[in-house]
Amino acid sequence: MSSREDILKTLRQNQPPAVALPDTQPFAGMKPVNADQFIQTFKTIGGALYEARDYAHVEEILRADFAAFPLKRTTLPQLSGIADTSWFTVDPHTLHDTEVMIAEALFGVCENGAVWITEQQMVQRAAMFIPEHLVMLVSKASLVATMHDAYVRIAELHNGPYGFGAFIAGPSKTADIEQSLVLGAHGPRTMTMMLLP
Amino acid sequence: MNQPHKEHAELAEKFNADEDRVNWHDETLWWIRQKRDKIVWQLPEWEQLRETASQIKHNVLSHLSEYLLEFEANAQKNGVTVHWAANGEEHNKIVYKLLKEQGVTQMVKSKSMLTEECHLNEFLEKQGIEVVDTDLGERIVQLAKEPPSHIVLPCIHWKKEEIGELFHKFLGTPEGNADPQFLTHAARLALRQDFLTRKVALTGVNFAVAETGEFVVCTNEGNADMGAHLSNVHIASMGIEKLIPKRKHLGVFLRLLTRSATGQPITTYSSHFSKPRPGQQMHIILVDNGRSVHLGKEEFRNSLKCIRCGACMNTCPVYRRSGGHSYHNAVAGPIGSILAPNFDMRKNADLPFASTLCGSCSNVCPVKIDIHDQLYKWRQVLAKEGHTPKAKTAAMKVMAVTLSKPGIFTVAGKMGRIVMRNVPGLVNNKLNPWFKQREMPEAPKESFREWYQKNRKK
Ligand code: SF4
Repeated sequence: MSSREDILKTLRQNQPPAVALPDTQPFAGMKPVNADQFIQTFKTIGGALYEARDYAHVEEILRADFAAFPLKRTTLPQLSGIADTSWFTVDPHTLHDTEVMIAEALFGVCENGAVWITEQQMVQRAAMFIPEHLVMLVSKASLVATMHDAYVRIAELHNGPYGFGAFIAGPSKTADIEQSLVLGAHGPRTMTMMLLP
Repeated sequence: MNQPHKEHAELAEKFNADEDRVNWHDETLWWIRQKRDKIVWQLPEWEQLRETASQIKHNVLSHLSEYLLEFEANAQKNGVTVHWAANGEEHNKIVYKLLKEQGVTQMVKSKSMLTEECHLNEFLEKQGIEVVDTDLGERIVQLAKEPPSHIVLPCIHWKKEEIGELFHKFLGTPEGNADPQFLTHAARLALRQDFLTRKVALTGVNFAVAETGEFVVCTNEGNADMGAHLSNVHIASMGIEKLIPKRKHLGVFLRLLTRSATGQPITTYSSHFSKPRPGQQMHIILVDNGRSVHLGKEEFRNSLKCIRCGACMNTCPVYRRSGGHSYHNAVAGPIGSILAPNFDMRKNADLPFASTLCGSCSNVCPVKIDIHDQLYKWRQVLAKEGHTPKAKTAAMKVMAVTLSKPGIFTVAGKMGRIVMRNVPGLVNNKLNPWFKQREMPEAPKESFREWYQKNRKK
């Protein structure tokens, strides 16, 4: 017998009597959306945040604050004036010299400062992890309160599998050396949120 | 495996030789436990969440074979290859076969306690494959040729000066530099090269969703993603108990996991892998390794609900003061002590005794595993089978007689309290195994029983 059949057979013999799933519905919509909580939490987890009026304002902020990093790339055609958009189909390994990557997430989560983004908005999966600095746009109107609300939103947004999706909450970090928090482990060393209306 | 190994008490004694280190280890873990408390108290629905998570996992255990088949079908629909491994050896062979197919001799790996359990690295090394662990903590213990001592904080027992020395030797950092920021950056630069050049990446799995065939990997460092998205072949190894029924259940588990583990609201990255990227191969290995048998043990099956957050270790007074390596098992601490005897009762018979049964572990466990009850139940099973740790057996025999005779119990207790209050040195001596490295607590003037007798009349 194959391992698959063996495992399934033993499981069937040993499974306890069926127990029903609990209702998780009450958790959704339990809390109000609180943009201030999103802003505060994102800062607490090591992120920087700007409230931006529109793409032009984002571009203005980028010109001022990220002037030191010439190698900017973006997934957003609206920002092609300030960042490269010719990388969409290159070998992802070649993206390792990216200093700043600018992308737009689908929505944010107030309770933990995370944003949800899928492969479609990433263009290339590695693009969100390989740059030195990550700049993420997200609209205030998109915010949800908790992770329960987040999965309700995900179900609304995607019918069918999304290939790859991620919640991203701040810069990559580690505290493996004596529990001292260091920002910039293997992914971006900083993350800047541009909170649009 | 057949070599006689040292028991927990003996290994703990070694760890306890350096008192400063023990105190520091103890305090650091307690600090993480306090961070957990602080964030947990912000959620009034916390207990409701724990209960829900526990019930979802109960449902999973009662339908595990069905969910596995549902997951397999959906993952295959997504273009993922699904493998089944009855044990660690089969798992390792599958990984090796995939590496051979690619004609490569190197691989990057992100944190996976399962591969520790299967001893994958040792196996692959023997076949001439170089595995690079990419989680910073795991890389540190790998360079030092040690196993991780904690499931979430692999090198929690290392001091920064020692890491500085290690990096000086292996990464060429300047001698004497022990700055965490600097050392982390040095590791980042070194591992970046590995990410850019390795064709195969292995990751663990935190949750796999039966409904959609996707799996979720949580990291703070971004190492799982760097490995997976730059590889031609992504292998994800998971224990079969990692399944959850529906995607919306991730809402419950992702809220619990990191708050319990480190006191963060969520990990930096919660990556949902559903399909391979164009041109990439994605493989999932479903590993049993004793789990399906364990499921049949009614009293112990709850331990399969574990989401590996590590909270039970951070809070455990024994773990904090004895260190992860004293448990001589891939998973240490309270949860390791109830999982390990299941794999090898003789070898791990000492572990359920490495506890005070204070119950702190059960109180913090986000999926409400009755950890301390299971420790107690294992002791009964082990005693019945004749596997008790040497040091504690004599004392236990006296205890057993005492506890089985209420009359003696009352007298013995009273005598004990009189002795403890007047001549503590008599109890705090080498013959009392509970005394090692600790002062016995001051004995109460009266027992609960005496107090009750006196006060019930009031
Ligand atoms: S037993 Fe509970 S507390 Fe311990 S690691 Fe598992 S889930 Fe966390």
